[in-house]
Amino acid sequence: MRMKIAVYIHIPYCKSKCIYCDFLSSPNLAVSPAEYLRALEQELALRSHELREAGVMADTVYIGGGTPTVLSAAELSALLSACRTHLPLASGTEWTVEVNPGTIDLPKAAVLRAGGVNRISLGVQDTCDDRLALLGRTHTFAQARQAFSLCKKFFNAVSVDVMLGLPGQKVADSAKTVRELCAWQPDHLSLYGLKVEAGTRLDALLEQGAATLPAEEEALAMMQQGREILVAHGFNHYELANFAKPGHQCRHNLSYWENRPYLGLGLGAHSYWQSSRYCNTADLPLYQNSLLAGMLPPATIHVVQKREEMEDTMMLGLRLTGGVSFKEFQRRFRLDLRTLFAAEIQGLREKGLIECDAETIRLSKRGLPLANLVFAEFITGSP
Amino acid sequence: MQQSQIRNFSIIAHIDHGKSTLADRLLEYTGALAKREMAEQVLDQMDLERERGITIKLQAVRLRYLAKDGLEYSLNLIDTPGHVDFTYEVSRSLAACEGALLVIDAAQGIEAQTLANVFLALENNLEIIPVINKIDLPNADVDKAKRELEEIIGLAGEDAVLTSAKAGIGIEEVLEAVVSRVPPPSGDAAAPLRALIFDSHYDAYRGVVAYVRVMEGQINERMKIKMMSNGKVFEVAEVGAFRPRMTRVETLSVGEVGYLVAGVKNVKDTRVGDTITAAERPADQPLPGYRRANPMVFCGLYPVDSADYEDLRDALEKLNLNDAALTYEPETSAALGFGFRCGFLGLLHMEIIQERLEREYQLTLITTAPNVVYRVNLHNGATISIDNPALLPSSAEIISVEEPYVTARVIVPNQYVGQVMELCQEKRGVFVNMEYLEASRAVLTYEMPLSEIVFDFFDLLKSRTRGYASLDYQLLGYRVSKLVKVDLLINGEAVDALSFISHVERAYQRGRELTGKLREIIPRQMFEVPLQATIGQKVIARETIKAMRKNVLDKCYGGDITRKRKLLEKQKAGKKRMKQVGNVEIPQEAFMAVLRIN
Repeated sequence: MRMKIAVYIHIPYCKSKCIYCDFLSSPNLAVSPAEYLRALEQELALRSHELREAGVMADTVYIGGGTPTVLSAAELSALLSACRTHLPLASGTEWTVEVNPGTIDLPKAAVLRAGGVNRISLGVQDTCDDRLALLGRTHTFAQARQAFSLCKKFFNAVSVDVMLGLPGQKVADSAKTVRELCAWQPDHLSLYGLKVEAGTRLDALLEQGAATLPAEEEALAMMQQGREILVAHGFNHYELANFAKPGHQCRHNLSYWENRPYLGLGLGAHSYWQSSRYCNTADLPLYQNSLLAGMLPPATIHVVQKREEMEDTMMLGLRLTGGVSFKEFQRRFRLDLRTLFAAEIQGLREKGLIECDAETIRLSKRGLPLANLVFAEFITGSP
Repeated sequence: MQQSQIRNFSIIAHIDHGKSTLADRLLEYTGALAKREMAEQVLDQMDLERERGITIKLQAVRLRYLAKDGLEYSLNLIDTPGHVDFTYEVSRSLAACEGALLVIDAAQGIEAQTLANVFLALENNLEIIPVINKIDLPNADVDKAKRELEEIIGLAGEDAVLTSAKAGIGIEEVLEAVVSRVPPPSGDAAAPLRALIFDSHYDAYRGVVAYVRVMEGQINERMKIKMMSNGKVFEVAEVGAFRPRMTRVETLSVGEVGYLVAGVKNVKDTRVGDTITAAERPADQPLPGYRRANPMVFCGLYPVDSADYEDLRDALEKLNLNDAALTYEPETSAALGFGFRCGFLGLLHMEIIQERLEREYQLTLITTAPNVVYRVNLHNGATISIDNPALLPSSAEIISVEEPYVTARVIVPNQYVGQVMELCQEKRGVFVNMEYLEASRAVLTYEMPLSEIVFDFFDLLKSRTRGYASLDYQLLGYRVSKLVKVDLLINGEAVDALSFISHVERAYQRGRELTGKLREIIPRQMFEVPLQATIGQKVIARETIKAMRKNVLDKCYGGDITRKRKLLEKQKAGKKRMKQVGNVEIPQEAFMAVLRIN
């Protein structure tokens, strides 16, 4: 059997910066999308060569950003055909593109589908236009609904992103949002609590007192109520922030949580490949010039030791509500995780943060909102 | 060197009045060091000293100076610390000198701490040469400084040497004044050896290096010497002078200052203040020792990691070698485990020892809030001394508690007199008198409980007078006060390391402030944590740390894994610096919180 890998492609362009966003994306970059795509294709060619040599096939492709759909239909078409030309693709590849409402239209949808895309992740975020505007989103709720309908017609699976714990939001508001989106019948839904990142506009607004966030108790209630509504609507809560209809879990993201290898291409993209973690340079001219010269972009490299790999497997695997399988762990590391982490597991069980059965270890209901405390127990510090 | 061509002197100055710069210029002028060889301010060798701009350990250096009379003189400069905490060190260096330069900032005038050191020097019969420094500053007022010299100390203002150490003005005049005004050492070269140990340090290869001033006789290599305090005999392996690096010489003779190495392995055998004599022809009487340094401030020092206990003991032992003022006794705390109760001269001394332990010995420590020594009179007739608040007996056993009082002298510009009086009143001060030092400044004298000075008096004094006030204090004696012990309960458990003793009228407020502060410092746990301050059984203040309900990162995809792991590692490292008390994790700074209230 040939080994499989997840491939991520980063598009650092967006229409305008949302106030909470600290991703590597910008509406005004020094390099045009056409030039960026040329460099990216070069990276695809170089990396694909490596993949072929190692006998590895791409099982999932995920194009994210930024907002990939700010690219023109022609640019999108070129990007997808570059992927198809270079990447060794397995059959039945899951192929996701991130889309923001207001950046998708019929021609682009058609191009994406023609290019092999079969899954869309749509950033809806909220149902309230005032809050969408406050967040710096460039679309209304009505536009989000139109975009969803369009995507639903073209693609096998559509996922929506929703944010909770927004400035001025009440528990009743967030519950209404989740219910309304359930009515759309998406195949998958991600429910994120708003996180304030240092240096963002949101951070500054909160600092000035120009915006206030719901109290921790409220944010927690929003999350719990959202979860209940989704479960009642037939969604399976399979990861801390992710819900899926049967058969619609995101295979690409499962690679991350199962601590399997992935290859990231594009500016600042991360890879986990051949026991090392890489991070491409975030310097756009440097990225571009390296590739124009026929070389892979400079990247930081961190070699992952065995112990660290085991810890990461716990830290990531426990995000899944199905938990970590003892058998799986044994197969991978030839060690029993119950022996390896005996003291940690006992302490966490006493605190009621985890539960075990004969086959798996997973977060308890109490442990879900305190997951970081659990993960930290499995991290013993830098190797 | 002829005895008549030796001069031993020190420099007395307030912090920032330019002592170190002046010392550097003297070294430079006499060629002890070329300009390019000099790290800024050579005498302050410890990093900590340079960072804080103060001298802690005293240093000595020999300067060769060709005077205008055509003779070459050997001038020994013995550096003195400027801070009130280090009066003991000052008295050590002054005892080795015949003269002192009194450096006064031309813009600032005389400060309280300088005054205290001048009086020490006068007690030691030292010749004082006033040096008015920083005369090139635009706000320098030389006449005012001269008036202060006359009115406050009684020295003739016209005798002052005017300098700017920074600009190199007046350096030769200072050296000439030292030669002509400081008397040469008296002492008899033919008499039996008597040398005063005024400092020492430990060298891993050579053992103890003792810093000595020869008062009578002389010391040579291979001579057998005897310590007069314990009669132990050693053979001198090396004698030398400070130029300023240690330089070997054949002989140290009467009046000279230098060092000796004699294969002494145990630091206790070269007690600072002891007299060294010759084993073959010993002197009858030792030299008068020093004014004893009694620690006035105590605190508990505990390793965060209990495995570091032995390392902490070794480190304290080493620091104690040349800092006799530091005391340490093992103690056990229910909350913190095994540690030491340490005694210090004052708060600065305490901070410096703490920093040195952390920096030079890489120890991570928990320091409990400092306190003074209380005397407790018990119904059973006994009187006990308490240097740890947790050990105060129950009120039923106590007749009365006495606390140390000091005479505090504050020099302050007139416009702040009101604020200072108000502060002293708040701190239970008893007014003694007020004198004007000329039109613009006053000296306020109060009798105050030392515990209030240890608490936060100095910080408040600085902030209420914008740093213009200076403080000096001396122990006055013990007085009965209405004192109570306040205990802190975290999650229902008393934490002994957080107990403090307070005047009854302030206990409630401090209890409230401390619980409030702890609520901010102690991170949330998975459960609600009540905080209570109690006197006996009575709860006087209460706060609650809410339970942590949410600690989760919703997004974790390919680009987040490294960052997320780092975050968790950091969280974990923070936890390692905390002390588990019962079920609750308490950060280091919580134990000092009682000082940080307000």
